[in-house]
Amino acid sequence: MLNQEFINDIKQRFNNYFSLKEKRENIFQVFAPLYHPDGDMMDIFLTEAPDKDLIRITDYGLTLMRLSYSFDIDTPNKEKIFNKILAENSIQNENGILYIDVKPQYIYYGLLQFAQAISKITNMRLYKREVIHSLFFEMLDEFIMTKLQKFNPIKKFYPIPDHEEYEVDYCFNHRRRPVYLFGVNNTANARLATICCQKFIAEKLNFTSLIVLESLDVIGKKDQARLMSAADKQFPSLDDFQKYAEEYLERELLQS
Amino acid sequence: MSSLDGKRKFTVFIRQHNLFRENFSIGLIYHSEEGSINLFGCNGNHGEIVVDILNPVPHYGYHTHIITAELLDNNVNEPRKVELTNEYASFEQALAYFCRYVNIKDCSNYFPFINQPKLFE
Repeated sequence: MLNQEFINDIKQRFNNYFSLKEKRENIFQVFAPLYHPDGDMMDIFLTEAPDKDLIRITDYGLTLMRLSYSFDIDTPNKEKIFNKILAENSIQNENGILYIDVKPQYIYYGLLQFAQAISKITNMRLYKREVIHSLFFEMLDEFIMTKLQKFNPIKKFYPIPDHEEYEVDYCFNHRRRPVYLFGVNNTANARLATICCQKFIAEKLNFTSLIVLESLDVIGKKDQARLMSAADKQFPSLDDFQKYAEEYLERELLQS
Repeated sequence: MSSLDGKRKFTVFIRQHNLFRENFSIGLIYHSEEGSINLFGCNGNHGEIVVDILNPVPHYGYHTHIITAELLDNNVNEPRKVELTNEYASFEQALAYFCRYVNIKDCSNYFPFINQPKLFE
């Protein structure tokens, strides 16, 4: 399948850190310094392509098997990202088996390109909900501080003097009837927002409370009910808030 | 899966390649509020592994991956501590070892072969 001349050429380019081992008949596993972050070597194999002049560099489905330990490509958006990675690296996908067919003299380049694609695909784990989840407050902050500047947002506002335990994430329009915004992406800060709103009501503060939820699924029904009862206005997602925040704040400020 | 007190949640993944039966992985993931961490895994003899990528001394064989406090302290969420093992030499033996190691209660209800004694022990 591969003559020794090509193997020697690849070996030289890998500074001798390259070898092939016949895993099954006519399926050769590549041993080269291409590793996953946990120390496992990338699963790359060479085999004959249907076009006899080409060599197939393939993973026999092991990249998606590895990804599936903690991540599934189960939404149109994830599929779009996955297909984009494949297209950008000229990788083909046949029922989860990834491959690229190259001329023998270009195996070295093909291997590097293939390894790069494997690395990008296994890193799709970083798109996990929980990773995005941890970016919620950063995204909220960036939006408020860039797009809502005209409403003079104040970050970390304490409406009751000497009571720093009752903190508002952002305060708009603090001179007249202020809008107190709370970002909520888990049960703990949903409860904290509820307690703060109830305390401000008990203290007879003049304010409007605004909740921005990361999504409706981040808190249970009871927490949702408590929050809905305590707060004046809720946005069910950051997307929704980004779409309507300006319009909402303008209306609120007109009334105040 | 959950801890005995029901407070901590885990999932186990079990994968075996349908052509290369020696390529398998059984792992335990812990789901905390901050995210999930791959705590422990039993892997098959799928090829080469290195303990330290920057100082690679390749190993071959059945091996386990485990996370350590030191790795977590350094913001590494990959179970990068790799150890070769003689505890198993097949997928079935790896599954039995995994269940014992992780201390899964009632696992024999789901995998009856797990309590089968070894002939040569």
